[in-house]
Amino acid sequence: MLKYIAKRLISMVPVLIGVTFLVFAIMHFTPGDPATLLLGEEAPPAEVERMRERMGLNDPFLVQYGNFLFGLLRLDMGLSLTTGRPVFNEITNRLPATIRLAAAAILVAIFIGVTAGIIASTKQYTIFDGGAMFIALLGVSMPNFWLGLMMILLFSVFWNNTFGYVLFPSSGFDTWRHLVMPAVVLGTAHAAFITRITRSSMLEVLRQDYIRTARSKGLSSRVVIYIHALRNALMPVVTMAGLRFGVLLGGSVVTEQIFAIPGMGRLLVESVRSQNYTVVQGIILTYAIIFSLVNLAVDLLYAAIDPRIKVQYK
Amino acid sequence: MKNARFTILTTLLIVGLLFGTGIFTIEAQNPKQLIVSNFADANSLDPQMVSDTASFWIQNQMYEGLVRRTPDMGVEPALAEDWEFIDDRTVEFYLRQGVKFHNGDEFTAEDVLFSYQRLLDPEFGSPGASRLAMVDIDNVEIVDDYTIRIPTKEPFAAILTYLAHSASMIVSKSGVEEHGDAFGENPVGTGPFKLNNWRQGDQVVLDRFDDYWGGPAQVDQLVFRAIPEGTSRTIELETGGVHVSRGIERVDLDRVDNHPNLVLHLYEALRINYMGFNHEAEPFNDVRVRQAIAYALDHHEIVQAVYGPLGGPASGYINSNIWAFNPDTYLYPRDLDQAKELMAEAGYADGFSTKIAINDDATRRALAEVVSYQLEQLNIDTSIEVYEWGAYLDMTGRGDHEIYMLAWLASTGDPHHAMHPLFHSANKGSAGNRQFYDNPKVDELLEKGMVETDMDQRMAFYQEAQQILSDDVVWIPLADDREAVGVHSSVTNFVPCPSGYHMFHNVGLE
Repeated sequence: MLKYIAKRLISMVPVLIGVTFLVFAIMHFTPGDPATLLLGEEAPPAEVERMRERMGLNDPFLVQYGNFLFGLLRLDMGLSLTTGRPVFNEITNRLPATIRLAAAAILVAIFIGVTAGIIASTKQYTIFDGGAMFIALLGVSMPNFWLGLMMILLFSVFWNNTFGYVLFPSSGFDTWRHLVMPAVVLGTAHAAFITRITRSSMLEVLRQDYIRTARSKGLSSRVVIYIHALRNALMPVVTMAGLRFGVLLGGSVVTEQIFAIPGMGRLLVESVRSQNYTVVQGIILTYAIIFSLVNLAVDLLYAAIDPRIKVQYK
Repeated sequence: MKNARFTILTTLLIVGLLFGTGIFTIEAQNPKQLIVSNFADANSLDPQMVSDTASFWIQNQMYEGLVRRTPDMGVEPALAEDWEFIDDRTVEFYLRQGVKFHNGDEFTAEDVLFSYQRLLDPEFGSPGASRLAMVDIDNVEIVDDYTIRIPTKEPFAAILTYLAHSASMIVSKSGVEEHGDAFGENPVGTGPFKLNNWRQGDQVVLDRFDDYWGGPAQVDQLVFRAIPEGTSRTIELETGGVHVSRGIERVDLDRVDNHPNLVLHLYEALRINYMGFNHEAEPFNDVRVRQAIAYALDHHEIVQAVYGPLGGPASGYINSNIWAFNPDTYLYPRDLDQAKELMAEAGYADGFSTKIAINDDATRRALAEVVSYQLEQLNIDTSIEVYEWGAYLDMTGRGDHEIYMLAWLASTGDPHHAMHPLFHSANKGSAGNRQFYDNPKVDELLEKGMVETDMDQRMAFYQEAQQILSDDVVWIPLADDREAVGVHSSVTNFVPCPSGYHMFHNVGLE
């Protein structure tokens, strides 16, 4: 098992190098001069030139890329062009908010998704099934920002006008109450995927012979569904939830913007806008690492669910 | 029950993540806490590290310059009590005594010299260095602890307004020496508020500085929250999450204005929006074509459609709040016949096609669309090209453009700042003269205005230059910006400042 993990971790290295190269090349060849942006539109050209030199922007592309890789080995991703702080600190400053939001959102998504999926599959072709599937479709189709604004109108504005206090604050990230609306907004979008996959996977499992055997043994349908069927139906659900969690850890640009959450998504947008290329590189690299790790975690979870797979991890 | 164990473990992991990131902490409420919403977080709390207004607004509560701006754009004493021009290139400043920095150290002339040296140090690379580029830093002379002589390389009349700029605020020498590169997170100034806590990307909490020389502030704490979305800022204001919100958007103006507990302040900002031409590109090298376009535009329609209450028709070549503004500048009224005649004279009776370049910004897009529509009446066929901001500055700096839309913020409020970078031929291209305008007479007037110390004379030079700019239709002024601030009715003594850096020293909460 440990050997397997080590193998997987080593195989991440070429992937990450590829990612850094791509990102570095894209940022390098994007029009616009970071030195001009840093100094503002009124800066005299001589000063801009001096700044370019200081930032190493006049070096050849490969030299710049080499310096970047060399820095990475020491966890040095350079300095943010707008704040002058190390990129590493910028990212670690924003990660907690994003992790917190992602964890809350995936809980919401799994809770809604698995529950609705089970209901839909066990009551196939009834009004419950139709209802659950309709809500799932609605969840996927509904834009985040729209649901976010509607919830703000209801729980912040309307609630305040009617009851004289705010149930859930519309922006900021201080207490658990700040977390509810963004988590639900993000969670519902991802819940829809989980609902669908739970339903189809459950339906497949429920048709298996061993389920019929279990039923014919006289087991209660609760035991059949939750113990015998669900566990075997969970594999694709875990994959899906894991991938969704990875996506969520990337930070949500729209949700973070609406609810003023100081997470990675907002940092990325701000950095792209100001061509803060050192921070953009750092964030994309972090995403790549997170995604690879989440994938690995999902694979390991398989083993926990299905002992047959564990045997293969050598 | 492996299944159950797995579920419990996973749940614990996720809940652990929630706890681990500190979500379930309870925040104590401070009774005298004034909360302000800003559209972005500060990039740094070191005034010599930034050039953006979100950072400067917060820093203005924590730092001071030798002099500062008044709400009516005059200059008043701050850390300097008084000053005297001892010759046409040297000002002697008499510093306030007994002023304390937030770290308890006393403010002296050493700090002034240190701050300016640091700002101008090429190695340090401050984005604000150009603000004091005219100061002859090697010959600054400390007479005693409370007297300092600041010479300029050439006679420079506007020195005081440049010293009042946020980039010229004084930092504590001992503070910088103690914290080094981390000074931006450990700021030490002399202002009425000092840093308590900064959650980057989210909020900056400032405490009242009890030893402030101007007397302690009215509130105990001042909090700047970063809320990027305009609608969210208004909702927070409405629901009591913030007391003051800058940058109320056009769609929310009525909502704030009609709210029983909110007051809307609309004020003239110092920014002027214009439509520029590349004078080196045909057909815009012909003044008749530029005049024709000026006659073809309906400014009231443009302002109404694009800005609504958040703009006024521009009334000249510099923002009308700048003291040397020439109110008699000829503005081309809408006159289509005249416009067509000029087009015919220039040989373009059948019109031509051209490109309007803009950066990716909703207001500019709307501007370009209205202008494009109005130009159709001269058979000028326009296509709108949208660029990302960095690429846009690059492209217009190189002169690859025909028509472009831009704005100029003379944050010092001085006519030199408002005109020299934009219209002097030495500044062609990315230094500001993006229309590549070249008129020796204007150059001469701008140079005279820069060195003349008699204010009436200065005004005369700048006003004459503005009239020439109008004759030449260097560009077409479109709108002066107005900004809207929403304030809760429990807030007392709030006075908006045209620079956008509204001060909170005297602001109270009922």
